[in-house]
Amino acid sequence: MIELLKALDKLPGYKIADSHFRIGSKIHISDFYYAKRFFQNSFFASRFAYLLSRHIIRDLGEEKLAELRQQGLTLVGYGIYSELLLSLTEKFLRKLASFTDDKINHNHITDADALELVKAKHPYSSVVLIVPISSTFTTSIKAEELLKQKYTCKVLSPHYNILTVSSSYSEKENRDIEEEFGWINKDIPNKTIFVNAFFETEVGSVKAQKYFLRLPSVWKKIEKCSDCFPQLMTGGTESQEKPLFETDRTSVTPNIIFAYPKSIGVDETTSVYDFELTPAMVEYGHHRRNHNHFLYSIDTEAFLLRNFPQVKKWLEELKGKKVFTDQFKESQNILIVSSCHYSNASFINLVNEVLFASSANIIHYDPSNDYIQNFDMIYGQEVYMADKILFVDDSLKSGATFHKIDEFVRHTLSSRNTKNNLEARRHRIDACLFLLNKSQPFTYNTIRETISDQRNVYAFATIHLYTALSYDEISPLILEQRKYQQLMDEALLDSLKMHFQGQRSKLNTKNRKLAQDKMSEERHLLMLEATHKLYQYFSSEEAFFDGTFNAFVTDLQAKTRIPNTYKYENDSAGSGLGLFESCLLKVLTQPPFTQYEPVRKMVFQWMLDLLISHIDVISTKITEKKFTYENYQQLKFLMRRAGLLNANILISPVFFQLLHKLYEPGGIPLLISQAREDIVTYKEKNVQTAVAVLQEKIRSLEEFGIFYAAQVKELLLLNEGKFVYLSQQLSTLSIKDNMGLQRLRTLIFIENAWLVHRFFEFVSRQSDWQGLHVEKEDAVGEAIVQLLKSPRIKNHQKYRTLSGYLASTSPKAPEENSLLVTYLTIKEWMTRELQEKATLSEKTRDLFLRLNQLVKFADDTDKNVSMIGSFLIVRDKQGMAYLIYDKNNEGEGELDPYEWDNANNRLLTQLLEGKNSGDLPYYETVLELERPTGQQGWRELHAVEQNRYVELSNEFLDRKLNRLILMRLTRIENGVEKCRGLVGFYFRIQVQQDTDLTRLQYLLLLRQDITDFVEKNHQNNLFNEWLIAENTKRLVLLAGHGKEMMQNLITKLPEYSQIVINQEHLQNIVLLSSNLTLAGAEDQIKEKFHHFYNVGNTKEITQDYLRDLKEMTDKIYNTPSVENSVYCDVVWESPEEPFQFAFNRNILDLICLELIINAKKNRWHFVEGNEVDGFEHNEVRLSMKVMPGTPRKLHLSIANTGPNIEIGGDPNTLANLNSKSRNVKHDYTTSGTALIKILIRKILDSEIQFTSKKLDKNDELHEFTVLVILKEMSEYENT
Amino acid sequence: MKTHNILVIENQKSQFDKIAARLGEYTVFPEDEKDFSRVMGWVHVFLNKRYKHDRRTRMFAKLVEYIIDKRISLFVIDYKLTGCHDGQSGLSLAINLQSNFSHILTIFLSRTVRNEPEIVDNLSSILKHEWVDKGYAGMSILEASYFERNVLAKIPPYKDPLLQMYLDKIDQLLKFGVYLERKEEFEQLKNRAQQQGEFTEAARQAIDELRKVEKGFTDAEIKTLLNRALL
Repeated sequence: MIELLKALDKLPGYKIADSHFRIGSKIHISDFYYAKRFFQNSFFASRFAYLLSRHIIRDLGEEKLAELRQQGLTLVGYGIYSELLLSLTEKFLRKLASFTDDKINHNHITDADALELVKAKHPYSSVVLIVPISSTFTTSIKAEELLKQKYTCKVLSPHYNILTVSSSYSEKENRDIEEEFGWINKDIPNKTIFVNAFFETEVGSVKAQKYFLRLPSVWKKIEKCSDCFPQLMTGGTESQEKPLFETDRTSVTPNIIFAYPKSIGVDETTSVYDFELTPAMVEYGHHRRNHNHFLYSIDTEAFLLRNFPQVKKWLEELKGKKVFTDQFKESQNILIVSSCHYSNASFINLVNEVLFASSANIIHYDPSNDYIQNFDMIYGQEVYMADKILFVDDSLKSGATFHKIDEFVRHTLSSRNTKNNLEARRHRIDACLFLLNKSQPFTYNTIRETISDQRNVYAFATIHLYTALSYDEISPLILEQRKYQQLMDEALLDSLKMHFQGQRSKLNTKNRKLAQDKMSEERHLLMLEATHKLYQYFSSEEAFFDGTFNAFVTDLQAKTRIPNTYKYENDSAGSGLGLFESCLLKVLTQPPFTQYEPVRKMVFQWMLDLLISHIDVISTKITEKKFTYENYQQLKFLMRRAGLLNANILISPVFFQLLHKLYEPGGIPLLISQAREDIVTYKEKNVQTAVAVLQEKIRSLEEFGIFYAAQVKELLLLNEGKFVYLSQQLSTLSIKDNMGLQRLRTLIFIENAWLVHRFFEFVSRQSDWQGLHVEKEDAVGEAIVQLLKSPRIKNHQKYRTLSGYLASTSPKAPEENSLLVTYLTIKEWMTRELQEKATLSEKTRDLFLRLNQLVKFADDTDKNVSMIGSFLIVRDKQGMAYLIYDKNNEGEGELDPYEWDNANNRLLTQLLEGKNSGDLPYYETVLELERPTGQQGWRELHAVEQNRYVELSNEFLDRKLNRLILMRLTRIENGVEKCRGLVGFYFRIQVQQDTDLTRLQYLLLLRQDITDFVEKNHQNNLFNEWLIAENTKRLVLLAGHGKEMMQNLITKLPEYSQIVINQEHLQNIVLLSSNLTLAGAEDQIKEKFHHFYNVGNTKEITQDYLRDLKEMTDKIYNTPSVENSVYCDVVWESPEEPFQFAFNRNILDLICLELIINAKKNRWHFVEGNEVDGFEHNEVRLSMKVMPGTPRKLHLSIANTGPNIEIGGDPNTLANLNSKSRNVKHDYTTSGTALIKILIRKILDSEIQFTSKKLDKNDELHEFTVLVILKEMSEYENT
Repeated sequence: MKTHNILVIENQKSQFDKIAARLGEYTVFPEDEKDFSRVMGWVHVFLNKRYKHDRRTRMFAKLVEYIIDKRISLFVIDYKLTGCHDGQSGLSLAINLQSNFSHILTIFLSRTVRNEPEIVDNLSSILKHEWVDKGYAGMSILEASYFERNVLAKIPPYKDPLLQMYLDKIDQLLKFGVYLERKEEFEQLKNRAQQQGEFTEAARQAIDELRKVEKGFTDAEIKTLLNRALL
């Protein structure tokens, strides 16, 4: 009996006990049942089908059956593996319940998330739902929802579940976890569970779930699974974590191989001869051959050349063997067939020479490119006439070439045999010779079976390397590549995107890379050897191993051998582990070995042990200030292994303690400062290579946060429960005064927000989502809240995970979280509204007003944040940047359109140019800047170095605004990050300590959408048209008063035509020398200006100018071309002394005309009802004087009466006018001042000042004075 | 036959003269240079935040009085009206005129393009409007044929503005179902007014009646009701 039990225990197949499997997105289970084979085997399936039919008949009752016989019945199964069961059940029902053929059929749903019936035929209105293997019953609930909504079917009660993997045995047991899945009642005697279906009504309707057989297993919630997070159990430690295994989408097929890896056996043909395989012969990297994917490639020509004597010896000895001489003789007509390839010719010739004294005939054919029919025509006779046929090739990998040639040969032989009606001479190839056999057992055995004598497969050397594990397998390398692509897409920060981009491109098939240095070359060779040895080891009988990694290495080395005579130059991996050990571990943590269940379990435990002990070592070393770069490298190496094996230890308390430790002064900061000191030393000694190595070290140390965040991100990819666990762990990280740790936390905190996007993807798939906007635009937010509150969402695992995640930052439920709701509202709007035919500026404005809401709601009370505005800078394909949107809380522009990118705001240029500018330490994605109260300048809020002030002028924004978020819009193209634009959000924050990161999280979640929007709308023809229009507008508005008015003016006052001509000319100089966004534009403008207008030392201006100015003022006030004719007293104060001043009179006229027109437009309006006591009309006062100095300066002042400029409007008007950089808004008619300001300040290096003085007792009427201080002209020298 | 009295609000006298000439067949206000500087003075003060609030409301009241007094039945308004930095636009003026003259068509003449956000946002609050683009480089913008196509063609046949407002309101309120119980009474008021043909003392009385009926509602509510009735 005991023997029998033992035998049963060893019986492979149905149950993987004491393991750790993920079922769907909801639970982890301890015992996995490979039960689908029950349903793929008619022995079991027919019995189940019969039972099922009986139950269906009994449950429906005769009355219902009679009705269904008329109306028809469809059986719907889940998973394609249920086909056999369903067709049999259908057959039984036809017989037992007398259904006619046309009234019963069956169909399938294959994937619970993309629910769709497989067969196109519409089901009958009544459906019986059958799920062969179930656990929580959510599949059948989802399936019923689909059938109801999409196919308008009625699903009959109960749902049939044949096997159920269940966690509890009694009615009371395990209620809490079951309740989460809507279980409300368990009727164990009748094998029925009652489950709430939340899609039906508010409270849900109860669905009975019938099952036949219960399979025991332990259910664990993903976020509280003690196998994932053993530290959650009392006394649990990190080393008790179990690797998690995945299944396919229907949760029935595990993505693993149940046993150890197998290689082709070691027999007399293999591994007998020593050879030398040098690192230079090995190419490492993802490549394809005959539709198969490989990691290693061996240069066979070089291999043959180096090992020629041994190969020859092998062939000679083969020739001497009886088994060979019995079959092949020199006197026979021998034919060697081979595939036409550049690398195998010399080997084939050698074979012919040694074995057949060069008497064999060789056909070197290209089976991929030559036509099949031609083979027969051209070589048919030779093949037919040959006594023996040999296939010879330099290497056997997938066997595809052999099989193609074999098919040609067989086809040729069989067709001739029939044609000539002779006795068949032979049907197949007789023997195969390979220089290198790298095939897997499956390939090798098939070839042996194919040829006429199994013994006749010969190879000089056999190396066990991986090919494919299943038919039609998508290569694990491709899967890895897809994984990194997904991670890249899901990363919110560019530094991580670029990290994953690097990982992904390593797997590019094109990049079959040659190692950069001897050490990497040797490492690749060692990995190849490790692979070989592992296959050899596991193929042996007593493969089972249960010890430490080091013991395993010893055992492996003792039991396996690769006859490579190459002598390694390097023997240290530089990571603490030996070179071979680290290569071994590397190989073991990569596919295919990770796909073998027992191996993965074993390696997982080793990795945990190694990492935990290394953490101890590091902690001690840091405390003792003995931490080295090698320790650090080994840590990274082991972390990477942990990442590849998806080990949660990386987010465990132990690891978080290590993070604290690493950022202590004796940790990473010490290594960085040491490396910096060393750089100084080596620079002095001028040892450039050492400097480069050290710089690389510093980079690696500084980017530890990114490396760690990337491992964590990989960990989160498949398991949403980990988001919750991580967000709880993050709050334990004490970052106070530790900027390195703070940055690391910021990185992870931000990246962790991806869960919100996942939730959006889920909620937007709900059918109600499509109808959200049917309501009025402003009701969408409320509709989303209602949707979130609906039982079907609220009871969904995704909602629960999200709640758990949000709980770490806010106590509110998701539907009460205004930030989340705003985010969802924007997402909804973006997918829908942006496609509508609004104009570009409408769309842009709408988008930004919505985004401003995110900034507002980050603070729940929303009282802390005010004055929110935003801007968008777009970069065109040539790299030119344009400020195309800017609106503050009053709907006006905040940035100076001419000055935003000047040298004082270099940060913006840096961000637009990205890391390529060489100024940025990282791939920056987002920056939050604060302007500390009472201080000048902007400081980065979440920076590595404390108080990092950025190059952004204090005048960039209004003084009241003290926060600025800058987010880069980027796209990674061919591995290069390209900046498409920059968005900014500026606002005022009351409590300066607010360092909330959620604002950034949500903005980053929308970054891709904004980038898409910019690319779609702002980098196309529409945008070019906008640009042209914008420039035209500027051309017209630069003069402020409109071209038309100026033209009008000179028809009335022709004496001023020269001024208008000069003004237009000046505009052209300014405009055509770009729009002041290019570096160096200012110098160009200056040079052009002085070329035309510098008068050198000619003193054109005298005291008489004032008289002309009075005349000009009179005329302007009188003319109806500037508004209407207005009475005005023009007073001028003659200078104390006569003077002569070198300045261009035309330019002075231009300045004065502009200022006087402005004065008139800003006059007081003396109309009835608008009188001021003591004043009846406007007055203008003019004065001029020359001030001594070098150069001398001319003070020209124009004062006019007008309303107090600071009354109802902007109280900062005067300050803004006087500000050196802030300009008046460009879209006001007076922006002629803009040109004058540019002229005076930028081109003439002179000054313009504005003052205002009250005149009446009510402070309404003011005298507004413009003082222009002009430098005397002299010969211009371009500096 | 009675034609429109058109109020042209244009900042620049020389431009105003051109527009007035093109509108030859109608009676154009302001009437002369003095009238122009008076009316534009009101407008400028009203739109300029640098004047105190009471001055601005005073000036606006004068403008409203002028419009009623001159029996204005159409507005032609330039979008850009003020020379000072924070002055408001012709659109703000039109919005303010809505509370009294929402029945009067406003034709905007502007160099500013129609899809500027501020315009998009606010234009819909002007019940009856047309937007005529002057274009940027528009020296010939007021060229006769352009003006004919884009301005003259858009001027509707003359209706007495106040009478029209009154009849419209009654129709809309009845259509919406408000005061159906007083339908007869309203019909009578309407007929009486229609018989008068033009705005008369009787019509003014009728409007007062209507205001009494409406007083249960705020202006905004009536506006909403009317807007929905129009849909």
